[in-house]
Amino acid sequence: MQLIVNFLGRLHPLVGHLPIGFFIFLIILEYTGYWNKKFKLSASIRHFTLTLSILFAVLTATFGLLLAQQSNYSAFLLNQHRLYSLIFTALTLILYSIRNRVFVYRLVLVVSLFFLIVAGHLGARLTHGDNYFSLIQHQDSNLKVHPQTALIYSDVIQPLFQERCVACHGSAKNNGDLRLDTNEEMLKGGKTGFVFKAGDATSSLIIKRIHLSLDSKEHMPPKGKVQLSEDEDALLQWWIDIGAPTNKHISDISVPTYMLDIIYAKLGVPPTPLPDRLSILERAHVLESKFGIIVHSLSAESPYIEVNARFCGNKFGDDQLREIADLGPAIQVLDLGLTGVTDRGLVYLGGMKHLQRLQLDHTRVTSAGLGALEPLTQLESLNLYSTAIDDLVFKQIKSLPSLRHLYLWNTQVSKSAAKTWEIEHTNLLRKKHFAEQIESIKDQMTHEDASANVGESFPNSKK
Amino acid sequence: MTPLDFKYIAEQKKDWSRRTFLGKMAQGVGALALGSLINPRLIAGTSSDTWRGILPSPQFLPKAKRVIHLCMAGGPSHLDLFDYKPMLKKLDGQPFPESITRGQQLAQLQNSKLIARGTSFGFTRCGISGQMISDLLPNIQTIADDICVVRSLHTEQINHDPAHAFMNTGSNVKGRPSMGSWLLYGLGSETQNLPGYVVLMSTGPEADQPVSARQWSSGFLPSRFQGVQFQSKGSPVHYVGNPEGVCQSTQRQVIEEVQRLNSLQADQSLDPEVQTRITQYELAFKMQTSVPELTDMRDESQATLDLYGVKNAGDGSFASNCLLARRMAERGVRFIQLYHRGWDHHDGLDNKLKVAAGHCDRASAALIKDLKQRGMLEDTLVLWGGEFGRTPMGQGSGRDHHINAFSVWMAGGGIKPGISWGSTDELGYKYTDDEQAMHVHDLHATMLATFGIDHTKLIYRSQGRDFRLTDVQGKIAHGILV
Repeated sequence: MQLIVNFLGRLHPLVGHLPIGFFIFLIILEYTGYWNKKFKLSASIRHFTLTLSILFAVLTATFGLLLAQQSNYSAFLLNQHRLYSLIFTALTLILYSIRNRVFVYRLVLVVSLFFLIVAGHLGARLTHGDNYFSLIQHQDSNLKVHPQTALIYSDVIQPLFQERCVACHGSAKNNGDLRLDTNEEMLKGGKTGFVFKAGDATSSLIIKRIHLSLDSKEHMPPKGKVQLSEDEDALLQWWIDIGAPTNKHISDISVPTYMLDIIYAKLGVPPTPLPDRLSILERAHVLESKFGIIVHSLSAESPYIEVNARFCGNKFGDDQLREIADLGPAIQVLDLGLTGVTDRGLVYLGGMKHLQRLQLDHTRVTSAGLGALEPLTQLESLNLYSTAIDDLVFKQIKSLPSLRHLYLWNTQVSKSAAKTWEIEHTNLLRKKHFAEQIESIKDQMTHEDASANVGESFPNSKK
Repeated sequence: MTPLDFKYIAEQKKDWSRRTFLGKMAQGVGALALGSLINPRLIAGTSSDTWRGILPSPQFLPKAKRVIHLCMAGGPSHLDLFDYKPMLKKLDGQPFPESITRGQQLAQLQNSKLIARGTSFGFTRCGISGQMISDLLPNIQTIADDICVVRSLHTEQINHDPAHAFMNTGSNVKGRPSMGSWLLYGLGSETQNLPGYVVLMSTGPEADQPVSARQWSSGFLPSRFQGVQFQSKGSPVHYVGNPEGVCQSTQRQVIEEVQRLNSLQADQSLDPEVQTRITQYELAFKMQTSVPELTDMRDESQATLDLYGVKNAGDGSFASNCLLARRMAERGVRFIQLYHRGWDHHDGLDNKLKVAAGHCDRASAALIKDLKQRGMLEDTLVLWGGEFGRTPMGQGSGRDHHINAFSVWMAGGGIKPGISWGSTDELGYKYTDDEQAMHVHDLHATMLATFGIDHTKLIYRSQGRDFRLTDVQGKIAHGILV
């Protein structure tokens, strides 16, 4: 039964064209008959055409009511459409009963036409969406801001608020005493409290409201308004989770790849990372079969790869390494242990800016060659065990700011030199870590200051 | 259709030759079109037929690349090794509180009077992390800051064989793949010269636990993913040398002809077992050189041998096997399982514990230290533990099987070092039911997570049903991941 009901309901947009057609046909007949006596409309044809209009108008209305039950259309539009359509149907019935009183009949005819056009237009908007009739087509591919210079708040988050929230929470209308149209106003919060808790998306009011069931009165945006997409929801949560920075450039934040895709889409940047990743993998696999190395994509989310030449042994040397260097910036993990790589080959590592883990154990590299690693600012783990390196190694790797693990077992390096370096390097890391912490505290303080000031000057803003 | 199904079709496609392709045109074109949509690499064609795993890439960033599972078969007593229970000691010799045990499943203590049994051994707070570890394990005490001790593990099977099966496969039902097989299926192996999944069984007078070969079976997965048991003594793999009068080049010719004949059959059918046979022949040929190289431990320094406590390299002892395990890990074996079978202490607990701990303590700790100095602990996950624990109630001079709580430890491969995870009640009877409780399914989920695998996504369809290592359960213990 429900299936039939659903099916009939879906016929509504189809059947809906019939009363429109018949009614407009009737108007044309009346009009030509009025101007040209030759075509004067006979009562029987008027009767016939009007009956057909009424019949299909009633049928359409019935189907429409069935359709309204099963779909989640915008409530406002739907109500309007229903109202105008029902008035039109009622008017056609009135027309039928007064079809012999010429003047009133013509008057009501014109009024009915008005309601028909409005009802039809609203129906079209329901079916085809709001932008169907707009003259300006949105061209998302137009770059709004270059991603290098884009700000996370002004260029990504604020436009999202603008699009989804500001109609009701803006300068024109500020429901719940909340305005999201400027940074200052947003930080003030609204009647029920602050918009978000920096660093904790799940306990932030805005996220809670977005996640409420659509039927809840407190759900935002309200039922009937355009809802946030999953991506936009994820974006907002991520932004709050990283502390809701308002003045940072996107390029200063370490953004996970999937989020970068969302942000780029918002900025109108065509999605490029994926084909890039594929082309890197394709090139990598060519080298893989050529040299017998193993290449992995680090994960489905990562654009980086891991290259393992350990099992090639001496067959893999400096010349092969030079060809791998072609993939340079994509390599995050590189295992050259047991290979024939020497100091001469290490220069090719300089271009591997994203290298995090490097294994050179059992190779013929020496302390002198390791100076080539200087550009590897992201290197976290360096394995040099069972090589010919000595205490001079520490001079060469002094400038590696991210180094956390250094393996020197079974080398000429003396225990005392290693210890000294360890202490110095730990201090360096600590200082760096400290600086990072201060940076993030500063960030938080600007937030807290803003909200604290606001609280004082607007004591009634939160009840 | 899930992406994995597509991958499966594409994988099958890879095995089709031009002839089969023409012969099976109708489905061929479909699969070709499908395959080219999914993975251009497959259409481009790779010369090698090496298995690179069903997962195109890990779902999240992997830390671990291989597992060394030190399996203490028989069920080591958590109460005497890792779970310090002063209250149990206090109750020693008194009746065990009935409120705890009423209606509970017991193995051999059914219907007997239950007496609490405290440990006879001391515990020491070790390292900077301050983990409590028994004095039975002086060497493991020294690596306290490198390991994560899980005290809330619990299982569902109270007898050895089904409990081993549960630990290995996540089910006591026969015919399920073990975790090593799942890993090979998901990720493939780094080495083409050795099996990706090797099992070593330590020998010795106390090795009295029978362990069935079904524990490393690949179940319904293609049999190329099953574990290969190396002999602990003598020649590790039988008949790996050439017979008299056969040289390596003759052997190569024989293998090639057999491969050609087998591939004729493989062209006709998509039976993975034919593929398995072909790859195993190839592997066996390579093992003729790789195995002697692997097991020749003459290049290990005396210092290393001393570290592990190896008296006679290759003697089948646990220590020798630990060293062998490290050598396998270096050569790219994905899953290495070492069984020590001396932990089923129903009686004579105190003495037998000393013996078993004596076998395992030094070599286990040495393995961690050795991996660490070589930088391999970063991507090698070591798991130490048995199939279940032992009762806080005494059984004569021993303890019975116990499934409500037992302790294992993990190290390396993306596991946080120097932490304890989970706890038990005051008598060590049952795990504390909080977010640190860890079922065997949770252990599996966490293990796969260290490899970057979402355990809900590693699926194989068998007899019309989708199977996972974690069945329909498993939650990742994010707290122990780096």
